[in-house]
Amino acid sequence: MSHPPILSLRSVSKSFAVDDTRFHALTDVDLEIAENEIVALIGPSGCGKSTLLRSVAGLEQPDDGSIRIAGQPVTRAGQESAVVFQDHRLLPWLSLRGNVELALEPLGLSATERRRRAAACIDLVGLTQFADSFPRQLSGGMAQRAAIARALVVETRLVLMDEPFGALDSILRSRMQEELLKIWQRHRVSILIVTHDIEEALYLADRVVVMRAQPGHIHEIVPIDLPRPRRRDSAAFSELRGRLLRGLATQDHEVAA
Amino acid sequence: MSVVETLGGAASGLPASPLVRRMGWRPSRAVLATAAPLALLGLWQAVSTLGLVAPQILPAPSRVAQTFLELAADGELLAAARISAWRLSVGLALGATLGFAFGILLGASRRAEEWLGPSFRAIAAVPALGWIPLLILLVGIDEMLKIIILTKACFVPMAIATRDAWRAVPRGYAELGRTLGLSRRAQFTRITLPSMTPMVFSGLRLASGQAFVSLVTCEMLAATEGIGYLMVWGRTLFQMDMVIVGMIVVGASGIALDQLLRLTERRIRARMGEHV
Repeated sequence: MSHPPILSLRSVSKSFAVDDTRFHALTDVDLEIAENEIVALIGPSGCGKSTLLRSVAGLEQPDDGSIRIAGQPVTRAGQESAVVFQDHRLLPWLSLRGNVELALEPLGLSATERRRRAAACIDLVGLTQFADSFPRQLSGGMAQRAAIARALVVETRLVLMDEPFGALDSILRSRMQEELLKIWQRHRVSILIVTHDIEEALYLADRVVVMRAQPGHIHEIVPIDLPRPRRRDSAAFSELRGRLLRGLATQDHEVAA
Repeated sequence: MSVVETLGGAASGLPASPLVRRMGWRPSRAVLATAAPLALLGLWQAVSTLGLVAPQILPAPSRVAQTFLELAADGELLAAARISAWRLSVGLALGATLGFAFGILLGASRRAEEWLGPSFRAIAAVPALGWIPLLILLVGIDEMLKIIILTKACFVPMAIATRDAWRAVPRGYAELGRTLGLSRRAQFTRITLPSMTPMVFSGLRLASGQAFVSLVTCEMLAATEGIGYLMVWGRTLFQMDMVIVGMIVVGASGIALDQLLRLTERRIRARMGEHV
């Protein structure tokens, strides 16, 4: 790759103290994400995928190693990255528009400019007619799309997603995945997405990072060279799913043994 | 078939169904709320008419109504109500403001909770009125006394509600504020404060209830004007009609204040996106 990576992690480690024992959430993690790339993190619970994402978001401070976004070390949250959480986390007292505009507040834009950019992003996720609705009036899928609009509106080059569709039912989830790709094709950003759903990772990602627990580390990185839109019932898709499943399953044996 | 069912079926001639029950006459909330006072009034009238209690002790409702009109007409009632309302407002404003600030301190700082929390709870455990003897000696029975008592009465529930509200702000909101890159100030004013508002307002409603009760008692114990004093004065003159007028005014304004605050609270909760 000729361009410098948008995100680079160098031997990142992080451990927590849990009842007198140290729990190694991440050991020696190296990872790079290129411009406009979608990378999915999968792995069993405790493999550190969420810790990794939270560290990149600046919500956790790694014990060791460096995390750089566009060459700049991450020192605090909200710096060069936007986050979509599993729960939409829209503030219930603000309208959809208000929620999206709140993300623009630190940028010091004029009110008109804030409104214009918020409207553009709300349009991008197809919620224009709901701009003045409040979160409780939105369905789960709509609320998550609104959360995506809030993440995109600041125009960071990296968007972090922590199981963004994990709370949705499976039909809605696959629709949201298609929509996310459409949005991504129109609004190019790099996406780091944590998921527990192998199909989701295969459908969305350019590369799938398989992580393992005890201690949390990267087991393998699987490039997904299937052209988009991907067909979930294609032979190549199934083959890759089998490979990822095996990668995850071996570990369960190891843990059990 | 049980006896009850048999009787019920025979009496109505219809199987009891939820539909029938729902279609039946259902009195409104206001009718329900006034039923008990009206019954009490009827009982009171009956007792007076039958002469079961001496009129010096329990004057007839008509007598009380007349006294009410007299007191209202010569402005005595209004003057008393005005001074009481003023004390209530000042005490509520001071107590709520200080209680809010202290609640934030207790919620935000573990150290403050450790150092001041126990003392605060001890002070809170002594009812506002328990302070009166000491305070009379310190500040006399002037306005200052009432203001201090009312401030204390509001301070405690307000501080507790604010502290709890601070702690009840979802962790996820704080994370959201950080990932959005909001300044600490913006995180507080745009996220924490709105999220706390409903609970803080509940505290304010509680505080005003406490203040109201303390106000009347305080005026009865140590005052020279106000609604509470009017009642004590009535007792001194052995004019029970005046005492009862005072009781009714206090009761009516208490419920009016509570209703007003409940309504406001419901509005606030709805505005803040809660299901009500």
